Amino acid sequence: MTIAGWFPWPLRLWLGCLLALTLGAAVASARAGDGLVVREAEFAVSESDTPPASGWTRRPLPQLSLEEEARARKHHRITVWVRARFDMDQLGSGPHALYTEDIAERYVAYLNGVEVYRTYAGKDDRVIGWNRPVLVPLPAQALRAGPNELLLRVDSALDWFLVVGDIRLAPLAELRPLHARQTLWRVKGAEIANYIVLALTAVTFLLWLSRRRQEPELAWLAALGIAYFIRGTVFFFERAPFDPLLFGLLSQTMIFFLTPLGFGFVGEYFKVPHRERWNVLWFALGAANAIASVVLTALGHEGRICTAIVLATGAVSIGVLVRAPWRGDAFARVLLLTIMAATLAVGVHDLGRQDHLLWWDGAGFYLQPYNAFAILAAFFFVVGRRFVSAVRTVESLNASLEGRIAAARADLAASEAARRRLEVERALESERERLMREVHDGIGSSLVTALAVARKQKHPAETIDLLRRAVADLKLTVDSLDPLGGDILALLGNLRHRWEPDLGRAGLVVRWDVGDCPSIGWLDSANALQFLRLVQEAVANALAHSAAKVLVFACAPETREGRPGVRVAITDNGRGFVRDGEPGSGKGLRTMAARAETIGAVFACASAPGRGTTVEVWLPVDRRRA
Amino acid sequence: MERQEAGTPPGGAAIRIAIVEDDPAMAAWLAGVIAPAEGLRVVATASTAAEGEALVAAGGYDVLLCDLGLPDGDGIALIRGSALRHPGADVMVVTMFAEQRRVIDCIRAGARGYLLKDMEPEACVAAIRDVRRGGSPISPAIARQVLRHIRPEPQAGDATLTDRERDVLNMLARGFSKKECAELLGLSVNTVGTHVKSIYVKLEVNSRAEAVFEASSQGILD
Repeated sequence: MTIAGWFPWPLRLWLGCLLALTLGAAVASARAGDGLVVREAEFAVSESDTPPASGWTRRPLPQLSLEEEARARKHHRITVWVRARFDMDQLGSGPHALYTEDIAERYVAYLNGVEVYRTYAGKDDRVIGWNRPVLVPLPAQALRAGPNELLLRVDSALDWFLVVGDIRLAPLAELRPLHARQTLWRVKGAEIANYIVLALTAVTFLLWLSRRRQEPELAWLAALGIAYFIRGTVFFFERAPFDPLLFGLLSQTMIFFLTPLGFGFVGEYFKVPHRERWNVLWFALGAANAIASVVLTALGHEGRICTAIVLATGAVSIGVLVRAPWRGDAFARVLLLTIMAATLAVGVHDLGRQDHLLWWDGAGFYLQPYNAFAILAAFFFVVGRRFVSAVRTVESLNASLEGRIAAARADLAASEAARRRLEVERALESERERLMREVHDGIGSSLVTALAVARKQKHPAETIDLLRRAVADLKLTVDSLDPLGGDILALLGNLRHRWEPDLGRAGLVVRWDVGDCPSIGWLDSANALQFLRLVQEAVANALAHSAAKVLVFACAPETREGRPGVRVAITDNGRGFVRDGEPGSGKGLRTMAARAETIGAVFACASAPGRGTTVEVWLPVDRRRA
Repeated sequence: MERQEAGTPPGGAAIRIAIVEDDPAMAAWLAGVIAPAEGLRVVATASTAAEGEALVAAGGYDVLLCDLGLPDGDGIALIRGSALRHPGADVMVVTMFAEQRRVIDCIRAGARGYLLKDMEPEACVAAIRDVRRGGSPISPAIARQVLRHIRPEPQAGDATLTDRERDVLNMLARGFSKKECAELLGLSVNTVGTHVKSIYVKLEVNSRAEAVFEASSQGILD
């Protein structure tokens, strides 16, 4: 496969999408100039509805995880008060707004003691707020010139999950694009990607259920899609559809099964050897890890080890797939393994920007909701490619079938033509037989009997000669009826054989000067008769007029004007003649020339007194001119 | 059928000739040609296939001159019968044209030569003597046809041609006379004639092998 072959259009498209996504993320994460970022605030843990009078400590922001505090208190849900002060001079010209993200889980915002916003409806409203960016326009009347106080009362929704993320203050116009970007990437994009995943998953599942039960990889992919979808809902659901704790737990648990399901799908797709054993291993590891994670969390630990195991398992499973024997579509394999490696990279990215680690802010949002979309899109690319290839195969098969049909048709036509030829040959043969019988029983028999009688009764030599010539003529006709497949040497030889007694009687020495000659395919009975009569005439002339001692029959292949052919020449060493001067010979020559012309041969006669005569006729192998 | 008493001619054994010919003029001509020839004697004549069969059954001839177109049957059956019963006798077909197909069929049935009905009497006598001496006549067309009848890969029971026989056949098929053949191959004319006769015998043998093969493949023989 060529280098270009590794990058067919689906891969190029996919790489393009990835690039666009990365660029988009980079743009989304570009926060320089996005208002006044609160870098430090005072914190006090208190369940009361009013800010506590004491217990405030200063802590750095953004992304402050208060899980440690929560755990220390062994309290299911805790509330923290966050107080930040700012000066109007820092904000620029209004109207102004408050922007927050990554605040888990809900909060009420007060500006200078006045409530300006709350993210939830009532006391029992368990909104999912951790991923949702919030833009709160600040009423101008609540703002004061000079120092202002921003106060947030932040509630955890799940056990011990309490985070205070990014808090910004700036003119509304400045924060609006940031809010829009973050809403798009964190919520809307995730939502769209996840619903597409759900649709593709449904298609895959139905495809497997209805048509392709023999392809378990489809079931694996559907299961993977479902797991990703369930996992992805926490990114864009505003509220849990059922108990928030259970919902959060379910979403969290899915993480541990993404690797086993992903491996199950790719392993099945490429029929990786021993995949059943690997599947058992990954599922066992995933389940153990999930249980460990729940237990560790319940015991008040963070369970980072579980996350590490998830990533390690993913890396090892990709390694197993890479090392497995390569079979089938290399492009599909490269693409799917690249996607799997990318999901692993996404896992590392997302882990690094978690509030309790804060290795980096990365793209500014979690990329995980886009994983399943990438996997399914890649899979459908692969399937589409396979489909296109199948269509091409069918097309090429059709073409080859058409070719074979055409060949068979041509064969049939050829055999039909051969059959017709055979029929014609048979008809000719039967006609020949009939003629031969007629000649034998009729005129031939009478002539021969007449000859015998004439000889017996000692008729004049002229009579006997005439009868003999008549019989010789008849023999020529009979011979022409079987043109010996255009074998010109045999035809000529037969003629000589017939003439042998006469030539012997005339005391003529025959020289037979022949070479190997090609068959003259067109020399059928009619043409052969013309040719034989022509030669007969030449021999008869030599016998009658030349007083020659030697008669040379020459026959050899000769190419004329690029056309292969055979030259037949009858040369005597007799007295020769002046053309047009000899009475009678002129007519004979004209007849011979006419016979040659009739059959498409070339006739020539050369003679000079005392120099003998040469009659030659050239027959082309193929009568059609090029 | 007429049978004449065989007498011993002066100067050695005469060639005893039997004639099967339905045309009385032709039969008379043949008898007339043979009668004056020294050492040739007509011992039996027949004018129908039935008489011919009796003639063949009785034997006592060295050369059978056989016409093909008999009023009550085919001369080829007579030729085959004679070849089987009297392999020492030579069968010559009396033909008007010596067309290769007919002649080949006769050779395969056991004929060793042919006489043309318009032959000069001397040529006719010479041909009969020649065939007794071991030489057979052949034309280029017949040579060509014989070549085509010899299978390139012989079957069981097939007699194969020697290289020399093949050379002779090839030259004859290309129109060379027996004399020219002899000169070109460094043989005597008689030897060429002997080769031709030997080729005819092999053709007959192969024809019989073919018949056996055909019969066995049709389950007639075991």
